[in-house]
Amino acid sequence: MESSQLLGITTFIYLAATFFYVAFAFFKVKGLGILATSATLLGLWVNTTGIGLRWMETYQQGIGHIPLSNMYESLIFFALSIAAVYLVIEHLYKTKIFGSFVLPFAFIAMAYASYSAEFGKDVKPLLPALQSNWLVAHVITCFIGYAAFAISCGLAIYYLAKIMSSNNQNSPKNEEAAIGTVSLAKIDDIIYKMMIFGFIWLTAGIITGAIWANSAWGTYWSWDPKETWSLITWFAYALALHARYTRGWNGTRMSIVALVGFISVIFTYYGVNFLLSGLHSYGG
Amino acid sequence: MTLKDNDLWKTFSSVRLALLIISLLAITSIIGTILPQGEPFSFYIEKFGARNAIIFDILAFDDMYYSYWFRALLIVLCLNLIVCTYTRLPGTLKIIKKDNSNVDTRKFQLGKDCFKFDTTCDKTTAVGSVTKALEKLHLKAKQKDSGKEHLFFYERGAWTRLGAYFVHLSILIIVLGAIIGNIYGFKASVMVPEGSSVDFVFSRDDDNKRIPLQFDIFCKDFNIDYYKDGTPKEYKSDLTIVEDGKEVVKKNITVNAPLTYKGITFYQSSYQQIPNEFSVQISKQNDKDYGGRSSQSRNFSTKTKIANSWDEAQATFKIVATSKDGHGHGPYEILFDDEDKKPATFTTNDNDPTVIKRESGTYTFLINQRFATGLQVVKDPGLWIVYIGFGVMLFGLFVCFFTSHRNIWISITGDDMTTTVFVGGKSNKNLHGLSKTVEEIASILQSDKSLELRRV
Ligand code: HEM
Repeated sequence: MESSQLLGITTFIYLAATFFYVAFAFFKVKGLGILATSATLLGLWVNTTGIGLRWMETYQQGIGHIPLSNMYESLIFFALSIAAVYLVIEHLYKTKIFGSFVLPFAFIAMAYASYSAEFGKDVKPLLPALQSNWLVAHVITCFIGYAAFAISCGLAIYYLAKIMSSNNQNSPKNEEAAIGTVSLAKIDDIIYKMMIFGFIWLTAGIITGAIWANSAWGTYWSWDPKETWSLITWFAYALALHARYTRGWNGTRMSIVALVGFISVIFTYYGVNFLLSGLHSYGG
Repeated sequence: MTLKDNDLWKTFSSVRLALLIISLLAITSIIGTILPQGEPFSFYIEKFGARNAIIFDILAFDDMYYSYWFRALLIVLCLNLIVCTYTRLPGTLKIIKKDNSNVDTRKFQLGKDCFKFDTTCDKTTAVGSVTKALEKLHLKAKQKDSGKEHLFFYERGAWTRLGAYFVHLSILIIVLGAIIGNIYGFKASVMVPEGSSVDFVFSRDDDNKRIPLQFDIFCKDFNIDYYKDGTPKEYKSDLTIVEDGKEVVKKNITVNAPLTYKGITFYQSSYQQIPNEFSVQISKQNDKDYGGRSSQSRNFSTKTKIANSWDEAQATFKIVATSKDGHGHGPYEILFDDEDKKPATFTTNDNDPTVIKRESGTYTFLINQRFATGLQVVKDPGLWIVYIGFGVMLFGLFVCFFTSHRNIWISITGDDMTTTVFVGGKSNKNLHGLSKTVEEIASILQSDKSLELRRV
């Protein structure tokens, strides 16, 4: 079996998991929840195996390198990170209610990777500049960060949907009334925690990227559009941290920030490649 | 009026200004990602019209990240950080140094983080049990006995309240490193032909000004490796640093693996074919014995259409023509003759040893396009400061988000009839972790048979 087949299957598993989570949210049947989590675990496993297989394929073609070097491969890793971080949250907070807002991100990432015609999916040899362990660290750290931001965005959508459907005031403290099993205050808290978690990884991602750039070109920062957009995203989340800490932003406001922040992430990751020009090779 | 009442000072110490500046930095940064940077004025006229081009020029949008207004924003951010730190740090230090053992535990609200128990055992038994429980959880607590009350006090991570200060400091460190690099460093480039050396480089920022080096940099060889599909796999230059006539360093540099000497780093960044210059190595395996030697070889540096002769072997050759293969050189058409006087042409590829059998012996012919390697030359004395800043930033973020300042009090009070045990804690962050620890202590005490606690 080829890695692309496995990864294609992963797409459908994440889709199935999404359905199970939605069904669980509606019917609140325990079995559906278990099914949803199992599907996610299976998806994660097939996803990982797919990446492993692709890694082996690069070696079979005599150009062995970890498959994190183009848009296709990074999307696959993105999906993996989302599923993995999500499962940790589900375990920590003991609720499956967020799944229907998070798994769609993993599904979309995989579907886009598998079915888009915009970028090549072949195993390609690595250009000299990309042959660096710092690059590997850079991609991994960035995408864990992006996954955390994706989850905070998913939860923000959930939060906003709840607020709109119940027309409550926007302070989470007024809404201790539990929704499902999770109070709005708790969702707000998790959104914030995910932003923090993402912020640390994004910071590490920007730093490893800078070190890589320095080892390849002798400049750790050159204001190339991709670098600059990652900094803009970083500023956006730094802003959110300070607004929360010092001005007490939370609830609806914070959810909107999480949404806007993730739009900035998407632009950094995707928009820059396809709308602007720059150094980064992704999208080739 | 003291400094702290000054309006300007107040502004600079406020987080409100920080929010404003960070927003401005984020929003204005977008301009430079949309508008091409560093192009000549004519480019902007052509693309956006004269009026817009003039506006861009005035606002320095064509080089915005190095413009005065963008630098001013960065400076304000730094001042904001410095003033803010200056005004807040003393307060934070006070909190850190504060002796938290002097609290009135009766004022605590019972709940998740605070438990109260009664027991009929005497105080000494209770103290013993608590000591054991704390030992079991490896919590090293201080003890105080005022006669009326026996207090256990555990404190951890007061210093972690400095987390945000580390992050802020790291920003200042990085900016400092960048400034030092800008003032005392340079970015330059140079092309070094194979087999030659240079002792200067051309500044990239400063109108290609020549920057002299204190040593020579010699390029022995430049090579490109290709993958099977023809894409480049590796660019490699064999460099030697020669100082005072001595070879001091020798290294093969590749992209991502530069060479540093005396604070100056040489990066593999580009290459050039030197038009119409080739190096040729011919060797001959003698069938007959030639003066005791069975093989001989010689190197030539040549151009097309020039006759070269190798007198010892009585051989001559001439590159008649070259065409371009995928990589821009070869195959070559070579006219060859030797003592047999039977001129012949053959073709050979770049860097591809070709064997020619002749009556007088066997020749091996190796031709190479001559290259110049393109080096990026950087001196950045601020780099290690920037890297330290990176480290401090990651450390600071870790402290901010994964550590907390935690206090736990266990107070034992009692008269002859009952003894009261209070377990309670406070934490500035990670309240969940604190609750867990407090609950753990409480449950160990509760399961202690000798105590027979009753929850109040
Ligand atoms: C891009 C620049 C900045 C970054 C990345 C940054 C980062 C941070 C981080 C990570 C925290 C910890 C938040 C938390 O514990 O929840 C923090 C807190 C804080 N920041 Fe910043 N900061 C920046 C700029 C500034 C500036 C310019 C000011 C100036 C007023 C400022 C004032 C504060 C204050 C007052 C806190 C709360 C400190 C405390 O925990 O006592 N920050 N910052």
